[in-house]
Amino acid sequence: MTDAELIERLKADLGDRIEIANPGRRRLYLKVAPENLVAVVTRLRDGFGVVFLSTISGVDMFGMTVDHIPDPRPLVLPDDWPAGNYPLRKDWKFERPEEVIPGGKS
Amino acid sequence: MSFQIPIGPQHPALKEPIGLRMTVDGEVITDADIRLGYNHRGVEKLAEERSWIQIIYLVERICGICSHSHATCYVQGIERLMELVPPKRGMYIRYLVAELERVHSHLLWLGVAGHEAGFDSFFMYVWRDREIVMDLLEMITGNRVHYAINTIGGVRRDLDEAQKAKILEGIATLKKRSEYYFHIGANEPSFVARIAGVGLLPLEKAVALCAVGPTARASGWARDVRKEDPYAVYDELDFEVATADTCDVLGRVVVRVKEVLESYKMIEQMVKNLPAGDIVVKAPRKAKPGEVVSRYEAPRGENIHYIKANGTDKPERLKVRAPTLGNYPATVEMLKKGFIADIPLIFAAIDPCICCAERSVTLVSARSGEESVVRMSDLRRQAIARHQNAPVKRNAVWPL
Repeated sequence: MTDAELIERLKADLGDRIEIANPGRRRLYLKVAPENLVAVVTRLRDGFGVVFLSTISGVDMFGMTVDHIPDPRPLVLPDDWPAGNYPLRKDWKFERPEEVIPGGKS
Repeated sequence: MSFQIPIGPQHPALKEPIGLRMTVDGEVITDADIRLGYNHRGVEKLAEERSWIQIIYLVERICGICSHSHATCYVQGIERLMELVPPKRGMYIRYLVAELERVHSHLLWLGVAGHEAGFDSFFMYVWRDREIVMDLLEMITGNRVHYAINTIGGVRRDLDEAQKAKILEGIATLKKRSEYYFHIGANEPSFVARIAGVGLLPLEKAVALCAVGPTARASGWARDVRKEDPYAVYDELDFEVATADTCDVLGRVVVRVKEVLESYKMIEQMVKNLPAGDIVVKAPRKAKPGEVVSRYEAPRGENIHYIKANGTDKPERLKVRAPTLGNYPATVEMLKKGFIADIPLIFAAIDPCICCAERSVTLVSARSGEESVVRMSDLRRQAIARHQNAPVKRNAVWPL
């Protein structure tokens, strides 16, 4: 499939929900508004067989809500990461938990 | 009767920490689950508080093997944002180091593959010769691992005639030795028998799971950013994309061997045609608002950096997609139907760089495949059950 054919197909499929840039051969950039992101990604997964790993990281890192994720466990963060902490949000600040030393500091 | 075998995050068979959970039926792996998060480092968050120059050295520390890949990928992007055109000589030196790094990374991997397959003399020979590349890199940049040769707008160190002669001399030696060892490797029946047919990844699976780099090329998919979207100097160089069609670990060895030989060719071309002139242009302190995606063919596959600038001297956002991350779904596929004894070999065959993948974002629904399609309500129930049973670890105290 050439670039032009692919752009054609994407446009027919997703219409004005995406903005396509094609700055070079075999290089397509899709620009998607945040409110359309989930719909577009779902369509790309079902219609074009694209594997999206980075999308799921949005759940961990930004607290996005995405339906029908086959595996809801945290992907990149540790299993014991406290809920409700989304580290890539701009207002998130890291606070180091107090160190617990058995017997106290000497 | 099936069992689950946990491997890692700390395990003698793994060189870097990652959690694997294999479901096995006898000796045969039926499912694999990969868990990240053991070593999450948050480099992307850190980058938001660093200036453009500081980030070069931060992203360089994402990986200890392909450090130049990350630094170059980032620098390419920020140069495009700042609309800088580095001088030709600077570009040649930058990508000369990139190809030397590819040689050292692939030789390292070939040694590991030899070791995992039980062919330790191959490992020792290859790693001895890797020292030649490491010495060349040290001579050019001053460092063996984190070369720190990139800067915005070019490179930081120039090459002189004596250094050029030494590089050519080193590459000539390496070429001769590599060809000899690869001849030995190809003619050692026990080595070939050990790696042939292990970790199968058919072409259609490689495409569907978006494998990258040598893993994809070993399945007969000629995918190489240097060729299909040539950046910087690669459209001026004569080289071929190495592929293999055996789709197994043997194919991955062959692809890397061919690539090393192609890299020698490129290094010779770059040293011989090194243009005269400056090596760096002056870069502004701030970047105009905008965003850019930069692609780079790292030794492990396609590396992508996304940079968003907001007009200050710090980025609004930096996103790194390391190649190892792109290869995880394919790894799960390769592990399936394999044997427990093949795990280290298969896993080593994607040349995983956990520190790249763990830097932050993303990964894998490791339970890919049809059997994983369950209803949302089931998932929720599982998730709740899992949390109830999970031991509380937050305030864990070391039992004295």
